[in-house]
Amino acid sequence: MEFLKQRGKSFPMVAFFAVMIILSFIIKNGFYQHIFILTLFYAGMSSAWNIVGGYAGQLSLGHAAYMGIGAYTATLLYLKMGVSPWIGIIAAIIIAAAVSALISYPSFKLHGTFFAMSTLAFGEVMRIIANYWRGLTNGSVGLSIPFKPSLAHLMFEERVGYVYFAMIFLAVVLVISSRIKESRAGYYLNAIRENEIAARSLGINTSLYKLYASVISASLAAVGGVFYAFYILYIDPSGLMDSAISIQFTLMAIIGGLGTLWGPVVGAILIIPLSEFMRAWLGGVGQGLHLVIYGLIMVVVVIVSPGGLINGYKVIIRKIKKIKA
Amino acid sequence: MILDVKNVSKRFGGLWAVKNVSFSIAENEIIGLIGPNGAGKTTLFNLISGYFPPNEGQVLLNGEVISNLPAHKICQKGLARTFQLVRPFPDLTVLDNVAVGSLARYPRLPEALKKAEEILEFVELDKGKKRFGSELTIAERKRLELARALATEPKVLMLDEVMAGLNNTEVNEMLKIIRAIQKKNITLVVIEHIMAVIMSVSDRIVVMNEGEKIADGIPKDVANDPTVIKAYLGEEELDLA
Amino acid sequence: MNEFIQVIVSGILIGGIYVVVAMGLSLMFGVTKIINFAHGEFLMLGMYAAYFIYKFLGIEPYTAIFIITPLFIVIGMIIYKLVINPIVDRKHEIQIFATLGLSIVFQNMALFLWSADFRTVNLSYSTATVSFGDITISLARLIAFLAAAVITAAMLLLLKYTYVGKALRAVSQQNTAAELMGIKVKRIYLIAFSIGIALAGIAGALLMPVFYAFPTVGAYFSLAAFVVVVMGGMGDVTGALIAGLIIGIVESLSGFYVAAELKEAIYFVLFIIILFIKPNGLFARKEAK
Ligand SMILES: Nc1ncnc2c1ncn2[C@@H]1O[C@H](COP(=O)(O)OP(=O)(O)OP(=O)(O)O)[C@@H](O)[C@H]1O
Ligand SMILES: [Mg+2]
Repeated sequence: MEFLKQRGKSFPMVAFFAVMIILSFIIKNGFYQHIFILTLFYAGMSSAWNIVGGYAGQLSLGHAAYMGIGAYTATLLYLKMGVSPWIGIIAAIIIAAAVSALISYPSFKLHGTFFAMSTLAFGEVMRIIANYWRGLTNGSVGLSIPFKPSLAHLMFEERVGYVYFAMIFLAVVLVISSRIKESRAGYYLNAIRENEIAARSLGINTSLYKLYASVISASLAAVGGVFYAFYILYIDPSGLMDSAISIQFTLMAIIGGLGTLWGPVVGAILIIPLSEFMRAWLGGVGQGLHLVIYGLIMVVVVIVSPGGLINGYKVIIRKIKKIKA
Repeated sequence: MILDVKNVSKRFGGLWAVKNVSFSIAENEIIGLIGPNGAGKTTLFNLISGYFPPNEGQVLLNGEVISNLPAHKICQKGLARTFQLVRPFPDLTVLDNVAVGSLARYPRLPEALKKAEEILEFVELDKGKKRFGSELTIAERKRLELARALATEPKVLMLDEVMAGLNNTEVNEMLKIIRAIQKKNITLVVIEHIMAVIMSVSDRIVVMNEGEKIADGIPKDVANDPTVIKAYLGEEELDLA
Repeated sequence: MNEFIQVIVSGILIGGIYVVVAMGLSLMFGVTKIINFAHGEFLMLGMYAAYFIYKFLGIEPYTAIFIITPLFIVIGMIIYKLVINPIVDRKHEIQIFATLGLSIVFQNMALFLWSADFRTVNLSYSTATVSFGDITISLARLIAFLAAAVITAAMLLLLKYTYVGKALRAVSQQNTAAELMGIKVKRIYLIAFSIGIALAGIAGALLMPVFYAFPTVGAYFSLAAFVVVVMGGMGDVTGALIAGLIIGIVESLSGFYVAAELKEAIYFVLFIIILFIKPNGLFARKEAK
């Protein structure tokens, strides 16, 4: 019985990835494959963000900085010292974890919008530093990675290789997220989000748990950054660390359902294809038009569906159950 | 003595919200803490539970100084409290709300959930445990708040006006629960405004006024204490004005 | 030494405009408790408005303020009704994202309609300077500063002596109490928001003769405004006055003595430090009740 319950819980996860694998065989067109990869990647990034932003309710708007740290760490190690990006991933995790620990501890004194503003500022500082530190990062010119396909270099001859890598990234993030969610840490993070003072009075070391969420979240975002660098093969501060990217991670989680396991995934599946197609269709009409529409959708969705789509769905299910009962 | 409060004071700007208050509580007692509005009762709870440290004085739990510990450590040591303005976790279910409390003693989630169910049964909130914190009535919120604190398995439980805003039936139910908690070998400190209620349930009563302790004794004596009567009459005059 | 004074003076001049931008942001925050992440975009729109008014009607930006003010009050009212009113009592993430969404819309609308080109207006006195002893000041900047000072003074008088001003202050202190006193809180929100937007538009007009308009110019100034508002004490309009001048000076000094490129980073670091020193801003008496 207990065993079946366990199985029941992982069913959505298995089903989801089964569908993704089937899609990977169906989608052959390069443009669609690119959208597929970006969707999986953003779903992973937004889910990583969700651990600190959704579970713990600490609305970080600086997560692109961790992605940038990951991308630059692995790329520089690879370009300057020939270190395999697989080792680069480990280095990226260590640096991102250290930076996030350093930054989070003081910033968690701030609440709500103030916390969001301080993280936004943090992300911008990191971007400006990356721009300014030309000796290391090559500034706004950026760094190119020569394409030498091999598994050790994390570069794939066939694009589908990136599809699988992105899928594995998402799977890792989701498994970690669901483990956290179904444990004491997950409950504690939720309690902190809902009411920090009450949480403390119930024996929760709120600073410690927030730090924990932040470090895990930043580490996963850094892993995503490594993937991104070795997929796009070019990194620069404004393409990688712009606050618009941080905002996008957050937005996907909010639209899908903040603090839910699947919310960020749903958000990414909606937003990424939509914005990529809009860019393709409307890009010709004039600069910026697709982003006007993107912004309008953002405003409307946020106002109309405050709990996100996953929660909206749950509310409806509950109402139906009530009517039946 | 399970709880010793020794000469604690707390100042907000120029105002001494709590001034040199001392009292001790024996194991398994129910203490009523009363006093007019603004007397400093909630502030005293905040001091004891580690929400902020006292400017002066000490608090001891089971002989150990706790007044320099952060709130979560104090809870782990076995002292829990409820908040006057209840703070349920609005987007968590009733069951999960309480489970957050039990996790303090049972780190594994299935066990914590099981314990939470037991507590909910105990406070008779087990029906509708899948509802969200935000969906509860005032009476239910107060009960949830109590259940959650109880779930941390405290030795001392401090209740801040858990009966305020309840109707008569609800008050009686709450009294029943408080007595049942005492049977579980938990020491209780209860802040309450309704005199009749607090008199009936307390073993001893501590009275505060303008930050100071003005009386401490069995309910009958306190009710006849002229300083106490004066403090309350003063308030009534204010109320009429 | 002279160089130093020169740098300080130009900092104060630009600081005057920051004060106007920040006052609006602060007023909105103080009253509605919403941080308007699109504030810079209204400034940007104000710059374009001043630009087009000059181009098509030949009216100088400082005079155009008399057109821009009512125009932006109306825009503010419309935005309030459509976007802000539905979110005033919502969670902060909703508030952040609704206003962030607005800023994306306006930025890209400007890009779409007016392209990414830099726009400037050339007035007869655009390049004129005045000298006081050894220091030389651009005349246009001096006029912009004086205009900013007049507007700031008018704003402070309005807050202090008019009924609306008193109501605004009452609501920003405690809206439940204000409600009990018979103040229509939602009405006051609307007024605060519209005035805030108008101040952003006015600041844009003041800036137009000394700066150039482009779609993302707002991001640059709203950043400064955020720093000013946090530094001055969230929602404290008079605090914004002093903080605005200080930030102007800091910017001027760091641009001159450190590196112009790092100016923004210095802002941000300052911003983070101030946030840490003054954590909760105006929010919440920290009280466990
Ligand atoms: N965080 C705070 N900052 C400033 N003053 C405070 C704070 N908390 C309480 N006070 C003041 O301290 C005094 C005591 O307040 P407290 O809440 O402890 O009274 P109380 O006895 O619980 O009253 P009530 O019966 O109304 O709950 C009051 O004057 C109150 O205004
Ligand atoms: Mg009280």
